[in-house]
Amino acid sequence: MNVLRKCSMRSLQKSKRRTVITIVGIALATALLTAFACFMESFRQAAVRSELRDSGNFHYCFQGMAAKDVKIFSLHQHVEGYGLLRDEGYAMFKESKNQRKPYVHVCSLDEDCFERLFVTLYSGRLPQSEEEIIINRAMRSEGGSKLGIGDKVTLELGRRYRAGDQQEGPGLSFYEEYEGDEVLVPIQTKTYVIVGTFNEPSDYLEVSQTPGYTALTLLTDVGGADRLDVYARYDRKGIYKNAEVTAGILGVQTSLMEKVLQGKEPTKEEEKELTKFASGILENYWLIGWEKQSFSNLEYWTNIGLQTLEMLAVMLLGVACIQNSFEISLTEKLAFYGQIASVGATKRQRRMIVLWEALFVGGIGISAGILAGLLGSYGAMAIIKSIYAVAGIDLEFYVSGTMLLGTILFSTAMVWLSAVHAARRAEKITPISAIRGSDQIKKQKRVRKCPFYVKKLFGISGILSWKNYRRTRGKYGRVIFTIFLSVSLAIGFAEFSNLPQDLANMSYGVMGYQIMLTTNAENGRAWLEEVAMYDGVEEYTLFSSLALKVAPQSIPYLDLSEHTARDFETIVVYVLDDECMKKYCAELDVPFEDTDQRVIVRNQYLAEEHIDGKEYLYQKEISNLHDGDVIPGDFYFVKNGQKSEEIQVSFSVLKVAEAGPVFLRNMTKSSESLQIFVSASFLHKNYPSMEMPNASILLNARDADEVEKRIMDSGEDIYYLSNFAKEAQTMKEISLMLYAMIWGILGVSILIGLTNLMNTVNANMDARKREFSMLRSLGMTRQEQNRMLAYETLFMSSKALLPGIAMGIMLSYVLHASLGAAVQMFMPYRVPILAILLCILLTYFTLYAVMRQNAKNLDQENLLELLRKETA
Amino acid sequence: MEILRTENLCKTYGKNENAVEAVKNANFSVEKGEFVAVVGSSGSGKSTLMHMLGGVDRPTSGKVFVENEDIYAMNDDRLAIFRRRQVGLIYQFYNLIPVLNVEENITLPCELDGKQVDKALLEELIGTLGLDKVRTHLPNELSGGQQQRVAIGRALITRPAILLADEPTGNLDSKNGNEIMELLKASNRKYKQTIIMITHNLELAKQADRLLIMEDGIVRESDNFSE
Repeated sequence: MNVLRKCSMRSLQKSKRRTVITIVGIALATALLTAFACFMESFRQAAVRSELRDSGNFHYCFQGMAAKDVKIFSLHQHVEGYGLLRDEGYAMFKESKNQRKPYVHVCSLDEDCFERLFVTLYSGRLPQSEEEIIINRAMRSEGGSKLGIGDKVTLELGRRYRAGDQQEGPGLSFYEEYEGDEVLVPIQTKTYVIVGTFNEPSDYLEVSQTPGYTALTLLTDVGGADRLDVYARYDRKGIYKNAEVTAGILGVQTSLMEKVLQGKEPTKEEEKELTKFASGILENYWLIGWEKQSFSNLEYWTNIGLQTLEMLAVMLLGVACIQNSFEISLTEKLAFYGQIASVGATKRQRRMIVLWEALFVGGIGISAGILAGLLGSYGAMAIIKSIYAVAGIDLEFYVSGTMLLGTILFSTAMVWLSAVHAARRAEKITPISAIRGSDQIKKQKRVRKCPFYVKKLFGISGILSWKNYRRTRGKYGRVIFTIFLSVSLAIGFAEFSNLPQDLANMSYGVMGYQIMLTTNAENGRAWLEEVAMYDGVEEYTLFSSLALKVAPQSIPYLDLSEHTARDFETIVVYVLDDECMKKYCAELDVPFEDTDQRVIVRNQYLAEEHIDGKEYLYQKEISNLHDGDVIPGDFYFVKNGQKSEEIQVSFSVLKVAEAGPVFLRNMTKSSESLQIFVSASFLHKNYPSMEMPNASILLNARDADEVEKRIMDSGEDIYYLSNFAKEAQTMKEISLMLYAMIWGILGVSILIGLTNLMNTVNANMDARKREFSMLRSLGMTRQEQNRMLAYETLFMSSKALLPGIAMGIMLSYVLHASLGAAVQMFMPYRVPILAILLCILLTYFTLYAVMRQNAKNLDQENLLELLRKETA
Repeated sequence: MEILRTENLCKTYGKNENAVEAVKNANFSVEKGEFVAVVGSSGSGKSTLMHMLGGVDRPTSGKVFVENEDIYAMNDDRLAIFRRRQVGLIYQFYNLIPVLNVEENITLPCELDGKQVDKALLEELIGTLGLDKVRTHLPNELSGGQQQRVAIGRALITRPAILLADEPTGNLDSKNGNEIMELLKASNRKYKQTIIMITHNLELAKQADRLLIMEDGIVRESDNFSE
């Protein structure tokens, strides 16, 4: 082995304690980075899988392409695969119990497309010909259809058009909700045999607002004149050049495609160019985003920002800790560097000694850190995956080679950055400075006087402490910085300690009920009343929704132009049971008795606006309605898919409210439409002929899970059930885990800081042995020595704590504000007093304990021997 | 043959009113194989002179020529290489590398130079210096005299042009001091080694071929040992 490496290795061995502490510091920082990389990658993979499941395995859907043009996809080098879909049209679904879905929407998919859109069977099998069909399971469970496997159906398929519009072209798209004023123009009649049912389809086939239940058949024969939707997946390069690839397929300029993908409105000419080959294009935004890891989303960037902040802090702490270790080592070995310089070691050779030490401790520390990080994150993932599974997040441990490589590079950079300064210093040491020790002697520019209050408060021990503190400030600079950073982060991230409770409140805490059950079944309300009587149900409230058809002009809308597209529109009328209405009235400070004849109108909603990629939320008023105004309209209900007879009404407004009742607030806060609330008594007294075919119940029970199980075992399958208690519990567990992870990261960061602290204090106390020996030989007692150390600790802690606390409070406020924006809720800001107190106590006692321990070691040494050695 | 020459060599510490002239216009030369003693009282500038002759400390002005090459015209790295190849330094406090054993300390200049150690010379030096039994010991396991012998071995291993010894016996008792002196003289005789020794001990200085006296930074020749 080269003699210089030998020197490095032996000096590392000689200072075993510091070497071990340094290796532990590097390992902790690397483990943290590795675990972070694994978690990031695992969550990203979970998000990709979730997107694939929810929306499908494609990046772009090219709508309405001529069948003859489809061959471009098989020729394109960046298209990995594609599936074809032909829209066969809509057929009336007369018995639908869902007002929003009065149709069956039939699509033909080729075999690839069945896979690409993740069509998963609930029962039966996939269609094998164009005469076979599978239906969405919700058509039975939610829509009330009696159709089953083996049934033969003949559907008169057509296109949807707005009543009064010209009945030409492809008609209304499946994104356009059913609003009652449309006609179905038949195009073909087909007979199918139902061979299966499938689970919730891709969001690109059907969502709750789309007007029909989806039925799928096999696309076997494509005619030249057919218009097809092509679901294409790009290869890896293609995703990164998505605008270029998509523009190439559509035969347009890349710049135009970039403009469109950025959400900018194309001009009419550009629009014409864009629709030359396809009538429209849909982007699978989230899948592309997760695969490319690039979003223009506030929540995502808040998240990334927080994580980056933490990582930077870890890196800073790591660098401060490791750099300190190298600097201490260098200071202790100044004479050694001078000696080897005097016998002819060049600058490079001296530099290489430090870098070799860095390579050695870095190699061991990084390897151990990566192993610990992998094992730690694997273990943590095994524990938390079951909790995430309840929340529908399919979390699996995943290691990305690129991220691991990144971690190694990041850690190596951290060690290198830490060592390079010491290496440069080693290079500059001259033999003469080391022989004379002149590097350690610096002229004081001016004598600093000890402030009078220090003398008054702490006496001679205080004066000595103050002078020592002033003298060793430089040496403790990195420690003070480390404490400052740890304290800032700990106080800043203490904000997350309130998160579990806040998020739980957001779910059912605010709503006040554990379970919500909605049904459209024929005797649904009676069944719900039966459920209310289940053993263990402690309180409940029932409500139904009816419809009021109004002419937009009869409402004093603030922006009428948004409502005049049609002659009439529908406002939902919620019928609350009397107990529930009483609570709402108390909230609004209006007499419940008045609700016998009058209604309450919700007139504000939570508006969302995107400007320059940023998301803005604000309360927006809908109309200029006032208490006492009258709303004229036609009152009706829908039963078994049929509208009841309309009753002409004039609702007198008792109160114009900003928000609906608490339990409905979260569910309907974003609805842009007016909402009317009436009591059950109001309905019975004034409109006894009105039925309530749909109904919802909100209930609290001793054991919500038990009640949920009983409902599920009841045999009824026409209902929606939300167990908010379970959701809140899951959310609480997830946020607790997030909380634990953040504090875990902070804990490790603090440990890294602690290694730094120990290194510096050990070295400094060692260097001050002579001073302590001298003071003890002059008669300073052990108690006085301890007091002196306590004061020094106090001065040093204050130097780090004061700015640390200030920075921590600022950080906690910023995090609070960004978190509130991310989860779209208002949470009151609380100064993290407990965290501040903990930081003060921990900092002071840790620093004091480390100093005290070193002084204790000093007590065991022979004072005279020390003095003799030092003067030799 | 002249091996070392100084021209108007000066070293000043500090500035303005705080300036201290440690060495003033030193002009002398040393012949190859000569054993020169530099004597002077404490603070007269002896060590400063030696550091400048050894390429350890740069002069404020003036030149040092070793084998006709101006050593301070070299950059730091060339100067380091010069020190490792041409100069052997012996200090009062030995300046051994504490983590290297006796043999490793002796061979350090060769290792730094990346050269093969002359095994025969190493064995000869270890034998001559009486370090056979302690060759694997670390410096803190040796007596002062043994440590100084190691320092001499380290200074001689590269067969340097000049051996500079700064109070080589200053930290030793008289028995060990005499032994070290004998070793230096032996190397001067055996290897024709040029030696410049700094001492404040006149008895030791008398054993040299030539005497230089330093007073308040001024170097002058002395023919009279009784001086």
